[in-house]
Amino acid sequence: MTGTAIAGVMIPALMGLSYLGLALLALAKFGHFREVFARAPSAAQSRGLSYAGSLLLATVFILCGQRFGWGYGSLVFMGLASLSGFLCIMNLSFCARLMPGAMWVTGSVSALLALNCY
Amino acid sequence: MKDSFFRSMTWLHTWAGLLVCWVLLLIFFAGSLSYFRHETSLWFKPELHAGVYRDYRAEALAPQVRQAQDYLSRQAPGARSWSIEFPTQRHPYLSYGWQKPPLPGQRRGDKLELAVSADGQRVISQIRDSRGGDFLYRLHFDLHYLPPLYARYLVGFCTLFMLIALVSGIVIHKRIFKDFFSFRRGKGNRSWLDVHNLSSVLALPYHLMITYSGLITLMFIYMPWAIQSQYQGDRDSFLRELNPVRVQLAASGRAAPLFDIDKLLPQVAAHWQAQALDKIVISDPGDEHSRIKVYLNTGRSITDEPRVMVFDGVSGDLLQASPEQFSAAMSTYDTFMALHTARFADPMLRLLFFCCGLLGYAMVATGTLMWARKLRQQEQKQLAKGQAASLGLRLVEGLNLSVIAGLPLATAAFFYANRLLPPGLEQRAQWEVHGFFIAWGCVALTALVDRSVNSWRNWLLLAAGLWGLLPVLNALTSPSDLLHNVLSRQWALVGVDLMGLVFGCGLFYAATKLRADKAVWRAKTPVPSRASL
Repeated sequence: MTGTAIAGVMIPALMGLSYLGLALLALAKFGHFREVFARAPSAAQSRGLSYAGSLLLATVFILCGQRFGWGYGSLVFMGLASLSGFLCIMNLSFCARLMPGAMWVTGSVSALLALNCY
Repeated sequence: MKDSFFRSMTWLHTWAGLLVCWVLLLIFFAGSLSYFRHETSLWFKPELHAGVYRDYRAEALAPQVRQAQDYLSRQAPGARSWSIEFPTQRHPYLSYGWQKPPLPGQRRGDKLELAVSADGQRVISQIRDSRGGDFLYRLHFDLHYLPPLYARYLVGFCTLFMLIALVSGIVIHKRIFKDFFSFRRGKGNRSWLDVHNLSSVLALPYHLMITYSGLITLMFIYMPWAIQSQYQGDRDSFLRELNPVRVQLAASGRAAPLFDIDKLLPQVAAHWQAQALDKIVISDPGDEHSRIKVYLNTGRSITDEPRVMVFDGVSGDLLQASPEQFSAAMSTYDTFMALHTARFADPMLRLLFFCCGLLGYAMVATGTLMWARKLRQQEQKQLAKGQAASLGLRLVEGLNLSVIAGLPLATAAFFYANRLLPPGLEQRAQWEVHGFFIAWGCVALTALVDRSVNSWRNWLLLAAGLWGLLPVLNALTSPSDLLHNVLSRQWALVGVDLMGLVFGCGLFYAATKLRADKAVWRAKTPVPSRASL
């Protein structure tokens, strides 16, 4: 695959993963968890979600750095995080109940794409 | 003195932001569009949309350069400089250009750029006179009608206040992490504040970077004293020392034949390990002091400083080459410049920068709208009694309407003027720009008398219509259309059309939302004479 073609698949994959990471972080918050699942999260669940989200975001950062070089990669990471954060918020405010489904789909599709590229 | 740190920071945030917000809206909007400066310029030249675009091919360089030198020496023998620009991702065609000697009263001569058809057979000289993306780029720091230097001081002043507003905003937003994802819909002031917070926090690294680097780009204008004291006011000698490659040599007036440029290419390829070239510029061709400068296409490296090899135009000797590494201070400056202009970014990253820029626009816009709402709520009692609104309220609401709704409309008018003005019009490029300001002026004039929700909706709908129909306009007034551009993979042109569609949908959504807002307002208050946002 040529360089641009890889970048063309990589960016959506990384974007999906950072969406997943931010969604996990959002669910770690009491209010958002309740909006989505209609019940309160336990303390352990909250902690687990927040660790998982942070870990995933860190992974995305490393993948960006490895793929694009650290300077360029960190810019890509910032941009992706901003945009996928925006998607997360839209998701939470307009169709919160669909969030778990959206997370499963984006997560698995982008993980597959990312694995394909590395 | 305000009674606590938090309250004084809130005061600072409000007033620092409000003082300059409308200029900031212009800067954010025009600046965001400038990320697609070259793509916009391509869209603005439909003469080039068919049979011109091609890819860079290293093996074709030598014949291209030979042909160009031949053409330019016949067509532009007395020019100040020639340029041969190779196809790059954002300039996807081969072009020849030259700069005429300055006319009396001109500081620099006019520049011409002719495109070469993809088969290399034709040179296309009938290209409409248009500034395209360059206008929007200049607008975001030169503000067009003002003298550039004053405009840049004004922009710098506003940027400084923006930085203050950002930092004080971070201080007063105590729940950054707690409220990171919170957007509460349909809750009046609370919702507006949520959007303001979200658009700021989501792109916070971008906002800080773009504001600070914006100051850095023009720092020699804002802080000239170090250069003045070190170089006794001789700014040119500072620039020479900073970058010797940039030195321009005056023409000697003695004629000497120009070296065959294509013979330099093997040496250039060896020096830069056969990386792609951006352009070749020849100063004072046919003069004894002629110089040939070969520019490297710096691709994705985060730099704004051109990498150049300078050759003697007569003997063909290599005189200078950019160093591989700049000094620490120079690299720092260069990195900030590059981060601000994002010239290195490929389309994906460019799009992300663009979205962040629009989030900045949303941040400033929601800030000013919140202020207008608060003012109106304060004056609600007087307004209900039928008293006139205060000057402050009228000013804020009027400026909000004219800038927030006016800017997208004016920009759409600029795009339409490019396609609809007659081709032979005197000063055509200038009239396209006037079109921008005429449309903007219309919104501002109506805002003097009517700032109602109705007026907002009408202007937003008009802007939505214009943007949404942009692909239709393009199809009718250029040799190609959206579908064919997709099929022939002209992503720059496709992108501009798609941007039109997205803006159209967004503005239409905003206009329909206003109707709902008005209904809520009606239900709560007994017939206000002028409803507000």
